[in-house]
Order: sequence, then structure tokens, then C-alpha cells
Amino acid sequence: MSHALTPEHSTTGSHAQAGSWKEHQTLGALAGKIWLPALVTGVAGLVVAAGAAAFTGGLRQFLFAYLTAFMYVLSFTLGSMLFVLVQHLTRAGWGVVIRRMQELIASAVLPLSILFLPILVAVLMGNGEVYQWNNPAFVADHPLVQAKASYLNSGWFTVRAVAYFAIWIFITRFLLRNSLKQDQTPDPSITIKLEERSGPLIFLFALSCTFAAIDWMMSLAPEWYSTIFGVYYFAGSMVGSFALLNLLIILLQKPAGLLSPISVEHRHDTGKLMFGFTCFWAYIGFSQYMLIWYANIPEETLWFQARQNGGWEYVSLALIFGHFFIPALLLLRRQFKRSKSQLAFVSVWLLVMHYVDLYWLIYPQFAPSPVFGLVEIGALVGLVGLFVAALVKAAGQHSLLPLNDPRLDESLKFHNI
Amino acid sequence: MTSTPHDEASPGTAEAAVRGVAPAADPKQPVAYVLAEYSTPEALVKAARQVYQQGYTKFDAHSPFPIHGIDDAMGIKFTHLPWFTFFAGGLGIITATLLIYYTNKEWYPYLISGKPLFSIPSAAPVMFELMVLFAAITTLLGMLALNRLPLFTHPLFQSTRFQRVTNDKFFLSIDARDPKYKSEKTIQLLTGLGAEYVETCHKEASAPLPWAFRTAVFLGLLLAMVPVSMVAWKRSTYSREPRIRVIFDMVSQPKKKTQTTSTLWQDGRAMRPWVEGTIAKGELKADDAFYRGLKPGGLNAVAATTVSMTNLVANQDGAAAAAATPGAPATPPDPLDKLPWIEDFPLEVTPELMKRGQERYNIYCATCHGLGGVGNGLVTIRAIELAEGTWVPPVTFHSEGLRKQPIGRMFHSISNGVRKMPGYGDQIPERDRWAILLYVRALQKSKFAPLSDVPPEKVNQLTDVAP
Repeated sequence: MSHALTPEHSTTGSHAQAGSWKEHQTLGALAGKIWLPALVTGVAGLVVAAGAAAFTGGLRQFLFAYLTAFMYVLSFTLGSMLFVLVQHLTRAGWGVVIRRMQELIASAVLPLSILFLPILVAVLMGNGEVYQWNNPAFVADHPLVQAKASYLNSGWFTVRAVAYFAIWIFITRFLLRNSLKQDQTPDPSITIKLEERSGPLIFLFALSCTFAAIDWMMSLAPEWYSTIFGVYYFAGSMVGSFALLNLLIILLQKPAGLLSPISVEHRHDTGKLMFGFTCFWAYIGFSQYMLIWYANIPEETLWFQARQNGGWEYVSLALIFGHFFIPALLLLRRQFKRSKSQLAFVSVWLLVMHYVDLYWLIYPQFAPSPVFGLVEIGALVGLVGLFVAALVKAAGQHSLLPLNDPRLDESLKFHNI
Repeated sequence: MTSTPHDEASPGTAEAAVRGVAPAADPKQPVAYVLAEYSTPEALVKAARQVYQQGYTKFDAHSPFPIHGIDDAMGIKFTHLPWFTFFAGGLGIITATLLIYYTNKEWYPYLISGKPLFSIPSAAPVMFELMVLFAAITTLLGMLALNRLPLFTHPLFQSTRFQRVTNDKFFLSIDARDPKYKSEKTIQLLTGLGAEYVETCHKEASAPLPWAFRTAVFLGLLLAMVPVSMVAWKRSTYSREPRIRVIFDMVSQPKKKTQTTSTLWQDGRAMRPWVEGTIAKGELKADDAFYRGLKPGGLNAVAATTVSMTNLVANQDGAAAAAATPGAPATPPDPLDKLPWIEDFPLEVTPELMKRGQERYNIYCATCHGLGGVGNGLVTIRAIELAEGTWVPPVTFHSEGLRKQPIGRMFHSISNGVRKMPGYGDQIPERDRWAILLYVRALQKSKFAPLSDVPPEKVNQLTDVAP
């Protein structure tokens, strides 16, 4: 049944039957209960990581662990941001009830931008231990890096980083502000405006996401290059953001009693998307691997060489099976996506594997053999804690569901075959 | 087809049919379906749920659009189609794996760039594609099979009211083969469930095909035999007539192609050898110094060796022969040593030529000789790693013999080869060969350059690397 985009439509019918759930869809007192412990955990985690790093790998190890954890939490906001844009572009009706959750996750990019400062400051202070292109002695010995010096230098790196965060903050604020405005009025012109602007915004997003992945992770191996690298990070981000979304929905539904209009049908679809992007991640990862494997050019294979030796080969295999074959085969079953406990299980599983994926992308540049200890755990716990605090802050006392979207009715009635 | 479907406009029945049972259209044929019409989807869902709860299993609901919840109301179980797709996908992967394994590795092994004959990374795209192909085709065919399609006609199509199922009406049909079916009771049930209208559809009597149709099919089949038999006839007989060509295309031209025979010439070859004593345009190459590295009149000395220029390939490098241990048996004198090679470049030496030489050297020579000319190119390193028995490692350019060797002789080596190295005369034009030699001379000089050759402003950049 198609639903016309008229204000009358959403004000009638849906109000009468759904007025009950619209009253209490904010975090309410829960926000206060989560915010402070998350913040304390986050700061404590970072302190532990910094303290442990002082005894082991020093600043270099701390920055690597911090970068890995930062890219991990950042990916949730990027994945959610893209999917909100896609929903507007495709005029999706089914997903209206899950869209606000994604808008709020994406909005956490604003506080996260402050957490990028340690890396930026390290680069600006001339630290060349993480990004070797910032180390004059290294550059002097590597003609290929010299050739890239006009792109890979601390000043231009900073300008770009600021630009990426500016774009993301602009996109998320635009999406959330208008979506919240729609809560007050059922005027469809707001939805139409969001749909029109999403086209140009998705171009900005694609470019910034690709270049951010290249700048912050690919340039750790400054001689190596792969044009698909940005897409690879994006694909993993989508898996991570859907895993997080599923988990949040299930957690907020059961103990907190929120989000009751999100039904098994919506979770089934977010599960399908998580499954789809798991396959997409594998597809992109394999595309990158196969071209390099087949061409067999030393300057390209050196990156995979590092990931197939010294213990990294087990991490690579863990990714192939843990990030693709096992979750894909599990999620292939319809029942797995519709059961709350099973979907939560795969979501947690994929959240873990998504961290392993980023660890595998970044850490071989740190050490020829896997290193995982208090520094890495501390940085991960720290940034996840701060991210949760940021998320709660971004959610504030906003409704976790859109209240007056013209397609809300369609979304509430959404039904899989 | 002799049945006359119920006609709304026929007098007397229209009012009676609004609520109630339409008269049986063709009493001679048994009832196949009972059809009930509803005007809202809600009524249809309600009726379907009731019919299902009464224990009926062979019934169907018809609607202009999908209705949410109708599956539950009708008690329809979830389809088994995904299993078809899953196993077909698996079969596709297995097929692709076996296909590549047997064709690439077992039946027709063909080594390409040293890649393994069978490996997962190169097979994965084919596995993926065949998985998708098998799964997609099976899903389509499985869907058709599970729905028992295609169906050329259906008893329900006798009803004219049923045509509105694609427009604005909703229908429920109960199959007469249903175990619960009892003519009167079933009709009463449907009427009681708020049907606007109930009618019966009868089995269709199958009439023989019209004679005109049969004749047309027979004639068509007969005509279809004509081209086949003509082809068969032509293929089994001989003819002196030229081939029939509908369109004269570029493939059939009045000319001879390479490697074919001709009756025009006595030797039967269509390809003609060069006429002796002639030279093709641009092939004169009279400048001995530029084209052969010889002093003027050097070709006379070549003629004295009774071997043609291109076959004069050194088996033993001059430098290597000089370095041989004194006790070793003396090698026969190399005829190349006696030829009058030029000592200077027969063309103007410019920085551009040097740049060109460096580029060409890195393309053609460095893979074996190494970027510095000491004989440590990637191919050499790999051949040594693989312990290739027939591999002759290239010599270094920095030996005494090669540094002193006349430039003309080195030009000859590039052009016609030396020991195991093939001649590059056909691949590299003369000018580029001289450019390469210029660069090789520069490489040679680099290892033995005196300090006076270093520009004064670069002297203080030198670091002592000598042992």
C-alpha cells in the first residue's frame, strides 16, 4: 500500500493509535545514569593505556593504540551518517523508525572530533614515529615518499583533517536539526528538503570518508597505495554501525522498555543490511587482495607481506572466517535475523571482528608481530567509554524515534513477506 | 469451449446474483472452483481466515495488490524456495572449483606468469559468479515449479467478474478437489462470510484443435525441413560452382593470405621471398659505423670470416677468456676479435641521448644485468634462487675486458646477442642501441671515476664507502 506524502495522512490515524508510545521515547533519567560512568570509564581507560605505554612501547605504542580505537568508534558515526543519507535519497519508508537512532549515532562525530586532537597535535609537533612521512630521516631515504611530500606533510594533513570533520559535523547537524524540526510539525517540505540535499551531501561524504581513510590509516605505510582502501574502511564501518544499531535497539527495547514501535520486521531488515555489508566487506577486501596478488608487484605486495608473516597470518585468517564466513552463514538464516538473542549475538561478534579488522589494518605498521596488551585494551575501553558518553550527550533529551515524519505510518506498518 | 460464462447483463439473473449463487454455467462439466467476490481487502482477509479455520487447504485469495497478513490468515507456511537457492549456490561453487581445477591444472596445464595452476584467489571470482548464476536461475525455476507455472489457462478465467481482480475487487476461490469440499456447504460458507457474489467455475472441456491450425503447423514443420535438407545435400555433394554469398564481406577478398598455397608460382607459395639483389625502401643501411659498429670497409673483413654478420655471436666473452686460468686449454680464437670495430660513437652524444639510454637500459637490460650493470637483475636473482641449471648469469660491465672493449663490438653484442643472450636488434632501433651503450659507458665510468671528474660543488657530498 503506497502512502502519499501529505501532512493530513500522518496526522490522522497514526496519532490516534500511536499516541501512547510517542510520550516517552527519550533516554530520560537513563542518560544521567550512563553518562558519568561512561565518561569515568573512558578517562580511566586512557590513563591506564598511557601508564602502561610508559613502561612498554612509549608514545609510539600509545598513539597506535589510540588511533586504532579512534578509527573504531569513528566508523560507527560514519556508517550511520551514510545510511541516513541513503534513506533520504531512496525515499525509504520502512526505515523511518530506525532513522533517528542513526542520526543520533552520527551526531556523536562532533564530540569525537575533539578526540582526534592527540593525533593531530602529535603530527603537528613533528612526531614521525606513527606517520613516517613526517620523519625527515625516513623521507630522505625513500624517494617514493619524497614524491608524495606535497600531499603527505603535516600542514596539509591538518587542513584536510579539519575539513573532514567540518563536513561531517555539517552533515550530521543538518540531518538531525531538520529531523527534530519535523517532530514539531508534520510539514512534508522538511522531508523534501532533506531528500534534495542528501544528493550533494553524499558526494561530500564519499570523498571525505575515502580521503580520511587514506590519510589516517593508509599513509601509515607511506610507500604503499591501494585505490580501494577508502571503500574498504567504509565497508567495515557499515558492518560496525549496523551491528551497533542492532545491539542498541535490542538493549533499549528489553531492559529500558524504549523503542517499542521498532518491531521484529525492522530488526529483520537491519539484520539483512548487516549481512549484506558483511558480504560487501568481504567482496571489497578480496578485490583489493586479488589485484595485488595477481599483479605481484613488490611495492604493492609488501603491505600484504607484512600481514602474512610473523603471526599476522593468524589474524588475517581470523578475519576471513570470523568477519565473513561464520557471520555470513549464520545471518543467511531468516530465523537468525528475527530472533533478538541471536541477532544480538552476531552483532556483538561483528563488533569484536570490526575492531580486529582495524587492528589488522593499522597494527602491522607498528610491529612485525601482533602486540596486544594493556595499552591496546586501555585505549579501546577508553575511547568506547568516551564514545558512549558522547552518544548519550548527542541523544540528550531528544526523542529516539521520529514523531511526525510523513512516512512514519508506512514505517510502522512495515512487514516482510 | 461450450460453456457460457455468467453474463451480468442477461435478464433475470443480474438481481439474483447480487447476493447468492450464480446458476451453474455448464452443468455438463463438473465444478472445478467456487469463487467468491469481496469488495474490501479486510473482508477478504476475514473470509480467508474463516475458510482456513474450517479446515480447507486447497484455496486461494486473489487481490490487485499484496495484502499484509493474508499469509497468516490463509495459514500459508514459509516457502522452501531459499533451500533451493542455497543448495544451487553451493553447487555453483563446487562446479566452478572443479571446472577450473580440471581445465587449468589437469587437462590443459598452462603456466602464466609463474602463477600456481590452481589457487583459491584466482578461482574465487569464477566461484562467486557461478554461485550467483546457479542460485539465480534455480530461484526463478524453483519459484515457477513451486507455483506449478506456466499454466496456459485456468477455470477461473471463465468468470467475467473475475477480470476485475486486476482492478478493484478481491476474490477467494476454493478448489473442488479439497477434501473438505461439499458443493452446497462450501457455497453456503462463502456466502455466509459476506461475499458480494458467489459463482462456480467448471472444468473446461478440451475441444480438438481447429483443422486450419493443424494444417498450418504441419506445413510449417515441412517448410522448416527445407533449409536443413539443403544444407545436408550441399555438404555431402561436390560442386564446381563458387560459394553462394549473400553478402560479400571483407573476409572474402581476391587476394592470398599468409601461409597459404598458390598455383601462380612454381614453388606453390603465396608468400614471395625477397628478390635477390634488391633492397626494400629504407633498408639500405649503408653506414657501416651506425648500423654495424664497423669501420668503413669493415664488411670486407666480415666476408673473409665466411660467416654472415648476424651469425657471428661470441661464445666466450673476451674479458672472460683473458681472465681464464693459464693452465686451462686454450680456446680457439674468436673471429670477432679480428674485426675492425669502431672506437667512438658514430652519432652526436647529447644529454638527451644519455637520458634516453638510461630509460631504455632500465626497460630492456636492467631485468638481467641489474640497474648498476653488475649482473644482479631480478631475473638473474630469481633464476639463481630457483637453481635453474641452464641459466648463464650475465657478466659485470665493470670488468677490465668490457671497459676496454671497442664500442662497435658491444653494439654487435646488443644487436646479435652474446652467448645465451639473444640479439635485441629486432626490438631496439639502432639509435636506441647507441643510447643504451652511452649509458653503459657512463655506468662503467662511474665505478672508476677519478676525483677530478666530480663537479667541485659535489665533492663535499661524497662519503667514503670503500672497505
